[in-house]
Parts: sequence; C-alpha cells; structure tokens
Amino acid sequence: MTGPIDPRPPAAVRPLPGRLLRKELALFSPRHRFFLLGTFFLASLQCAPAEELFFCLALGLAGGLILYVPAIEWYHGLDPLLLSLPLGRRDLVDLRYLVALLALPAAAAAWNLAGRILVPLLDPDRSGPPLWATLEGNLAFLLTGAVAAALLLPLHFRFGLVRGALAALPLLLALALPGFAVRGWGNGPTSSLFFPAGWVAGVVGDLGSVAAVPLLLGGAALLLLLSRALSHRWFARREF
Amino acid sequence: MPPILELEGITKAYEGFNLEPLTFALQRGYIMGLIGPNGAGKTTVIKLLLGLTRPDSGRIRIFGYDPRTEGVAIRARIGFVHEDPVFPEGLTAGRAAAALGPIYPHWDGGEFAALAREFEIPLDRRLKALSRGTRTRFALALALSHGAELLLLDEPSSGLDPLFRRDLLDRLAGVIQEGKASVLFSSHLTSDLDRVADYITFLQEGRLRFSLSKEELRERHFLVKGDPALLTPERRRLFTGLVRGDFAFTGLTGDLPAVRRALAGAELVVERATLEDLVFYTGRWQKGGLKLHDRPD
Repeated sequence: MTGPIDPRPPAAVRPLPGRLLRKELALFSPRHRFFLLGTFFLASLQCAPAEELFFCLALGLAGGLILYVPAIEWYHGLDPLLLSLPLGRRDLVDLRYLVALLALPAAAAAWNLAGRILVPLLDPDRSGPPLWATLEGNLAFLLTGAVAAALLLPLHFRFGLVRGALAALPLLLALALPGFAVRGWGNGPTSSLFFPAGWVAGVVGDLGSVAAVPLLLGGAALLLLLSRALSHRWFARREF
Repeated sequence: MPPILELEGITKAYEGFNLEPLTFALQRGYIMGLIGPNGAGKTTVIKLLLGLTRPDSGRIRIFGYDPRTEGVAIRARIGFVHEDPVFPEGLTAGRAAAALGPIYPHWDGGEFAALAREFEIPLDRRLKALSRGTRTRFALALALSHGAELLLLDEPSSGLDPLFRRDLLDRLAGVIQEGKASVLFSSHLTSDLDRVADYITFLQEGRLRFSLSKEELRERHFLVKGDPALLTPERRRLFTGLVRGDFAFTGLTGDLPAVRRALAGAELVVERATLEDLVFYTGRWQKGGLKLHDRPD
C-alpha cells in the first residue's frame, strides 16, 4: 500500500464564458453552421415571397441555432459527460439563454439578408415594404422568438430535448390557434392574430416607437429572465 | 487526515432498484475497487459522486466538501472515465480534447499530447471512427491531464484489449505511487482489482456486502469444504456464502475459529479465499440455481 497524499483546498472554479462558448463552437462546427444556414437560404428560395412563411422559416433558423448543440448532445448522449465536467448546471442553463440572445438577432439578420437578396429577384412587382424591412416586423420576430424560447427552454431542461419539445408543442399551438380561429391563415402579415406583427404594429402605433420598443423588448427580457429562473430550478432537480 | 471520499448512510431508490444505506470511505492515496454484478449499484454510486443524481438520504463528502454545494470545484479535481465513453463523435480526438480539456482549470495540454502519443490515440481521427478501447484510452488521457486528485473509473477495463488493460492497471498503480491521486475503480473483473486495489467494496443488489482492505479480506476469509451432512441450520449461519453439492459443501467464512469450534472433529479442508471466491460465494446467496441455501440472516 502507498501512503496518503497532501490535500489541496478546493479551487474556486467558475468556468469562463469563453470556455463554454469554445465548447459550444466546437460542437457547432463550421460544417454544421454551413449546413444550417445553407438549408435556410435554400428554403428561402421557396418561402421568401410568402411573408408569413418566410417569417416562420427565419424563426425556425433561430430555433435551429439555439437547439443545434443540444440536439447533438442529445443524439450522442453527452449529458453525463458534460455534467461530469467542472460546469455548474446553472452555467449550462445560462449558456443556452446566452445562445438564444445571440441567435435571435443573428436569425433576424439572416432573414433580412435573405429577404434583401431574394425578394427583389423572386417578387419584383411587390408593393409596400416587406415585413423583414419594418421595425414592427423585426420587433414581432424578436418577441415571437423570445416567447417561444421562454416556453421551450425550461421544458427542455426539465424533460430533455425531445420530450421537452413535445411538451412545448401544445403550449405553442394553444397560443397560435386562437389566431387561426379568429382570422384564419393568409389574411396578410399584419391582420392575423396568429401573426404577431399586427399586434406589435398596434402597440407601436399607440405608444410610438420610442416608448414601444423598450417596452416590448423589456417585456421579452423579463419573460426570458423568468424562464431562466424556472430552467435553473428544473434543471437542478433533474437526474441523469 | 479526512478521507478523500466519504459516503454515510446513502440511499437511493429507483423503480425496481434500491440502494440501501451505504457507508464507506476512501483514504487519500489509495485505490478502491468497487465490485459487484450488473445491477448491483456501482454506476449509481458513481453518478451520486458526480452529482448526476441526488441521494434520497445520507451524506456524501468529497475532499471534505458537499458535492451539492461545491460540485463544480469538486469536479475540477476529479477525472472520470465512463464504462462506454461518449464524446461528440463528429469531432476529431484532438478537437474534442481542445474543446473539453480547457474547461478544467488545471488542464495541461502538453501532458495530454504526451499521453495521447503514449496511448497511441490518433488525434486527427474522428471519435466515431475509434474503437471503444481507443475511446477509453482517450477518456483516460483526458482524466489524467488536469491534475485530478480523484479518479472515478466506471468499468474502464471492459472493452480493452488485454495488453492495454494491463497497461491501464500499471498506470493506475503508478499514479498512486507518485502520490498524485486516489482511485475509485468500478469493475466486475476481480482479476483487475486483485492486481491494483488496496480496498474492496462489494455491492450486491443495492446492498453493501463489505468494504475492507484487501489484506483484511485475505486474512479473514477462508473457504471451508466438508461433508454436507455436517450442515445443520445453526452451522449454516457461520458461513457468509455456501454451495452444497451431493458429496461436499464449500462455504465462505469470515470467522474460521468459530467454524472450527462448531465443526470440531469433522474432516474439513480449509483454504484462503481469493477475491473471486469472496465475490462468488457472497453473491451466490441471492442468485438461485445450483444447490444453494437461503441466506441465513
């Protein structure tokens, strides 16, 4: 037998956000990024003239950017590996919300870029500003993305990716269906309740953009903060 | 000096599985073998230590700290090798190490590169293209490259070729001799533990059967063979494990003097029990089959 060794006090370890992002970027490699963005631009060739569909496609891109790495982690069963690293569960939750905060404007930028390139080519006779070029459209995009992320992420952290998405689906549909029931699909981007740009346009019209923009973005931020708190709570309880 | 690892009355219940109050400790600078058949609770213990699951009751201390409150700092000082090491398989081994390693505060990329060369890990190949044995070597290289003070190895030698298995065991012994770390090594291969372990903790169906030093086990435990007609119900209680054949019984005892007193005058063959005997005979009580008795207690 061998003798005991000298103890070391536990290091005060806080993983640097840079280290976590490095892990994230390693998993979300350039090949994956190219695949996701390439798919978005290819699908945009079909969807860009139909504003509602194009809006939804860009939201899908945001969802893909947020959930691509969790999907890889789920597919390869990496949770035990990640949780055996010196990472707190709160750090993993915060990382996902940070990615969401980065992914939503990035997807909005891709939506704008694809719209600017494709819409003049595919729909040259179009009249009026397209949704992606308006303040209301961009606000509606960020708010819808924030609401969807705020609903989906706690369920993802509570139940895992697939079960979480399945649990979130009825909630998202429950939010969307009244719009279908009242106005139906295809009445124009600003008239359907399903389509939040109409509601956002109303708020901006009533309050003015100076008051409405911080109010709406502040509301989205508050919702994400509440969602993050719930994710912390649920993920801390989850067992693997 | 406090133990590096201490479990006190830990319980955990899953559907169809109960970890009964579990108490053992690992002193600094030693290797403990955690042994037991599949479903004994070995992986549950390792999950509890890593904080992947929470105990229903009891207390865990690692480096003297509670993993529930100091989990991140504790895991920074732990190296973990999973039975079936999973990694982001689309990455090359080198990229995976570059992504995961620096999460450890004391990560030493040079040490990892040296170990990768020594373990013959092709860093430019994707992890999904590597054999299970090579992935285990990769996991071990990661675990040994950040100054871990405690290595948790969950069945690391399964899937390894005999040559590397031997190398692995020698390396673990080397780590201990250099005073670098303590090791909790779960395995169902008694030969591996016989070779390197200082302490043996045996679990079976969620129950702790024993947690003793290997010397204690060897000195205390004997196999006793004799005529099955000698086995009265009272005498059966002297054995912690017993297999009865038509012409002879073989019993495992931790109290040889008591057996000799109880069977005084009878013709007995006594031999020192090996670790494999201990596991086999202790485990046989609940396995059914053969010609076994119910556990007397």
